Amino acid sequence: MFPESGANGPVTAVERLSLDVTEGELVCLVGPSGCGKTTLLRVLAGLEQPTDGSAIIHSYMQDQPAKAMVFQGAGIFPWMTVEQNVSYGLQMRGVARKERVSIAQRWLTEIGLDGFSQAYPDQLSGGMQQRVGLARAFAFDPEVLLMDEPFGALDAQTRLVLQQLLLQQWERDQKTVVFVTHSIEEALTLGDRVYVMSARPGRLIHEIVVPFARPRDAIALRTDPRFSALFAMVWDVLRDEVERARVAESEALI
Amino acid sequence: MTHNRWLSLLSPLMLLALWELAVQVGWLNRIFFPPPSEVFVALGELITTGQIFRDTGISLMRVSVGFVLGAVPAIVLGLLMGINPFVRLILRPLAAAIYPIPKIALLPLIIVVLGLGESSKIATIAISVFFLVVLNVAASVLQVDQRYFEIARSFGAQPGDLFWTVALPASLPGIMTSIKLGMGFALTLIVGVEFVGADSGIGWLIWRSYELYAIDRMLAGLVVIALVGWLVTALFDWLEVLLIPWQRRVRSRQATSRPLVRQKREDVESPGAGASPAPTGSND
Repeated sequence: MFPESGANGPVTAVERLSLDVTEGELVCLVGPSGCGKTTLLRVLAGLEQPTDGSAIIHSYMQDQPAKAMVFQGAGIFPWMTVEQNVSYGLQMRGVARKERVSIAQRWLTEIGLDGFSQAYPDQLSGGMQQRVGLARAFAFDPEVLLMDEPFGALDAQTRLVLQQLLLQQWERDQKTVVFVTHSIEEALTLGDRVYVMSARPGRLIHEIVVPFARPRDAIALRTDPRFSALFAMVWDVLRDEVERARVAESEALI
Repeated sequence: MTHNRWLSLLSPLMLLALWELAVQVGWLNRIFFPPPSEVFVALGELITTGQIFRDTGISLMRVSVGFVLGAVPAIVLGLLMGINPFVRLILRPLAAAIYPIPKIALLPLIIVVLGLGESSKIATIAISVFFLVVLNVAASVLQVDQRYFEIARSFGAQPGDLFWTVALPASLPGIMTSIKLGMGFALTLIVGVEFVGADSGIGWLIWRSYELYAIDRMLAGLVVIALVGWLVTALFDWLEVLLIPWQRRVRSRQATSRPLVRQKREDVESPGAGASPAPTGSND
């Protein structure tokens, strides 16, 4: 149980929730807004302490950080150049400057921002900023990547492009990823497994094993009949929760 | 120079021409309002005798020494107040209580303690600048979006890293604004300080001209003050661009700048501190 303080005293954001993620797996969490998805991720990231229960990441690598988070709305530092942003995690790990720069350069090429290493975030579009956020997390090279609606603020086309980019990177590195999203399509496109969360207090109420073979193509998937069938199924589960969350929210306002 | 720049030069020139005309025709009394032509003659005399350089130089020395003595400790303490709640709790009530006292009112006391020499003038400037800057710097540190600290921590940043890679650069625009405010304040104050018990400086020049009823020289002194103020502002603007390169673009398109994200921090009433951009918020 992870109560979170709200306007009317503490609120239980997540309860009776147990989630196992295997190494190298990409797990997506979908749920109505306010269901505690972000809280769960923040607990995993160690940014918040659960009032009850625990989150354990079994670390296998000695010289690798356990986890990194990709934030909603990029969260890159406006006072650092793109290159400084991408190498920030490495700097905190004490990696030598020369090596940092070369790793950052490699990731900038990877995400298609080659000529922008000395640019400041303010000179970039939202999609480009989010690429920098991704590159920063990838360059840090953690065992587990926690992604909190990283593409939520982007327009639909940019979102597809970045989903494809993430798919490519993930299919190459096979990192363990926990990906939180509002979007059923996004969850089905990216995930090995998709969990549906209930309205607050959040619990996992449904698990879907996504059958699509890898490597996947974010765009081709949309025309797969199994995709629409799965979408309908997930939406079926989610619909009641969205309604419950909506009612709870308007009650809280009164 | 663009068309628009010419237009903005036009209005002051028109005003000067109108003034000159009004005096020549007799609408304005020449004794109280000497025409621009006479003021520029007086300015020319001040320049050829070198007096203006001596007095401006002395004033600038007082301002810059006082400014450095006030601003440097203010920046350090302001940063500490912004970062450390303990320091803030101890110092803020005191600073906030003293801040609104017009420091020029302390001048007699300062003169009693330090005498009529340079030190009393410098001290007045330093004290005024100190209180203005310390509160503004503390406020700009508190305005840094807490999410940046969280992001840094999630990449393993330690307290020292948080200071050098987040708190300091993120509040630098606000610090710069405080410094500019402090400098403007110091330039205003020096004139008042030099009205009283000084025998040199630009303020003294103006006061002395008043006593001698040399209004053309008085106005010439005002022209010099305006010029100095403009030059100092330009210097600080240049410094700002140099120190805060990531703001260059924000400034150049300020009219369309992004909305500032909510300030969720507790306890700042900011005496007009600068703003820092913030990441889009998380909610869930």
